[in-house]
Amino acid sequence: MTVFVAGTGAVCAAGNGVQTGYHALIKGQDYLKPYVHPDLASTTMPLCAQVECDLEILAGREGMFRTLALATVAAGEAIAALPDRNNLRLGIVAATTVGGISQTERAYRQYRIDPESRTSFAVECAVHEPVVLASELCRMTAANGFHTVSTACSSSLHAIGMAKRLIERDYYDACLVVGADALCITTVRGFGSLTLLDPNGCRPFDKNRAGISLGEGAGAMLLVGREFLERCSDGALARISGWGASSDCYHMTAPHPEGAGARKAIEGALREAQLSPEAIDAVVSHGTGTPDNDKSEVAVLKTLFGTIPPFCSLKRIIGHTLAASGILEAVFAVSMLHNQHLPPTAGFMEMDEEIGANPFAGGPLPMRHILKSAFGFGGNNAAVILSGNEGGVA
Amino acid sequence: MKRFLTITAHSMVLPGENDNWKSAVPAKMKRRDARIWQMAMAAVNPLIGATGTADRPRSVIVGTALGALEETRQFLDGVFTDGLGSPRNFISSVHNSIAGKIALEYGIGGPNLTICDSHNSLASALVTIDLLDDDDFPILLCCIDERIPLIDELLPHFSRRCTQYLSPEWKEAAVAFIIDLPDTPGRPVRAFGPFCTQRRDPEFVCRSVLQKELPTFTGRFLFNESTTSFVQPAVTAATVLDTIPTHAVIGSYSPTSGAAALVEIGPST
Repeated sequence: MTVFVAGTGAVCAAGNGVQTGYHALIKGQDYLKPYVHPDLASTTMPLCAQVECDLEILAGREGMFRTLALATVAAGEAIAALPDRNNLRLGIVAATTVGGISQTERAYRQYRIDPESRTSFAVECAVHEPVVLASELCRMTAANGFHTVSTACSSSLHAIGMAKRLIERDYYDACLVVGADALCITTVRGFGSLTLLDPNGCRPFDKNRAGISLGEGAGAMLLVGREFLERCSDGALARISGWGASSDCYHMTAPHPEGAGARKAIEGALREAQLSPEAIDAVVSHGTGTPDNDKSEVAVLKTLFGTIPPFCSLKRIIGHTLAASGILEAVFAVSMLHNQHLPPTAGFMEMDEEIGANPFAGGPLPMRHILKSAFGFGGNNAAVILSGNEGGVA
Repeated sequence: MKRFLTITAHSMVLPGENDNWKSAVPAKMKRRDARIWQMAMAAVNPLIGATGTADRPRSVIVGTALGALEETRQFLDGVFTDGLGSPRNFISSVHNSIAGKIALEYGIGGPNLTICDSHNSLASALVTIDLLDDDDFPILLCCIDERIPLIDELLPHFSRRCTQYLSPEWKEAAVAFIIDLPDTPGRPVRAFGPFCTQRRDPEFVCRSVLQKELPTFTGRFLFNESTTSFVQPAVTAATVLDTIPTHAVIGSYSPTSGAAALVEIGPST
């Protein structure tokens, strides 16, 4: 059964809306700024890709926790492609890592100062559970049910794969897939504690790369089977051809040096898509900018493809948006298919001899199949193949 | 109609009811690893450890509402005390650290997914398992949530709707299941949901779903027994496997999400 992408949505540092974000990526604009957080004002903050538009206004509700506000904005853009939801079983598949922890952080900090604030702490931390994101989206869209997946930075690619199969196996007629994560103290301080943040901003695949730049955002995709495609205002934007998942079994935070687990996930996606490696026209890589990730990622591409297809990383522009990164970058990959144009890898300056490959310089590129990969803590690997037809339209 | 999968083995750890639960934790983990990782290992080890009886699973699915709560608290304590959090606490605090640790410990290289659907995590994880390829089976499913003093302190201040489904005696537990393909000997299992309830009476919603999906069902329907804490549906499922040889359906409801789900367990095949 073919599962189509019928709508997309995005919000990130590069702007609100898929078109705005895509054009920023093509231009290679830089949005990194020192992270601003009221509770961490006195300390030096790393460069991050922070969303600057007023999310609560865009989301149409005050008091939302930030991850939910991001998710609501992206979901609203994607679901607009399906105006008629009568007699259609709609499922939500949501992916998040931090969820509502920004509320917990604030309330817990206050509670440590004043233990009598436990009543307000109890109210605030009610959104701590990741499930709140999916259930709120479910209410917003009057969907029938939902699933929440949380596998760190690979979460939302798994969410796309799960949604594909929920449709194929007749659980739902359509799925709204949303991945969202907001910047917060936990992630900024957590990645800082691991010394994984590049003080100069991330430089994926560059010889002098020294770590990641965190970002925040949300991506959303409306997936439907062929039977319901005619209800969608924009028709088919792309197809989800394959999904692969695997575990490294190597280390809790470092990738396998030769990318054995990543290769297994990519091979799984190729198998489901019934494609040979040569059919992949471009790779929108995980490309975080850490020395280990970029090296092992290219090592996989070399062993799997022989001649490496053109590849890019979007992380310097939109930051590493953690659980949102997979779907947000997949949403932009749909735009790349549509426009037959692969963006440059901002931040890349000089080839690393140890990697032995340069990312694509940016420009027009005939593409029918794009591989999107994402890897997360715990040795977690995900790969999704997005397909169009000749000329980019599914 | 959704297909039945098969539960071929299960194991449960209830730290509140068994002081000796750490005896099943590998010695190398006892001193430094997160307590919730140790709970998971104590449940999983009897199934696939050195003395385990089950075939080595190919994939890992974890169902958890809140993940490693204590590690999250300790990390934030570090940040708010001296501006620094411990990297060890940060790594452990990530929701999928439990599944990652299990895969690492037992060399399970297949799909590794963590499903966080509150009280409905068991049902949601079972549906997720149904989405995987036949080559990914058998699958290790571990449902887990820990109880920490901070939550006990906040419990009286939660909304009435929450406290209705998180009793003062709420359990922490790790429950591990080996799930295999249909037609494997064991107890058939399948799940429905989670479904949005629009905050209507959850037991009524579960019974309505039951009536719609399983109109001829005449076995035991367990709802009140399974809704007292996050991981209780999995505890109830283990209890069904141990004590109810016939057909049973477990209803679950999450006050946080307002969603309900069902898990159906059939008689042995």
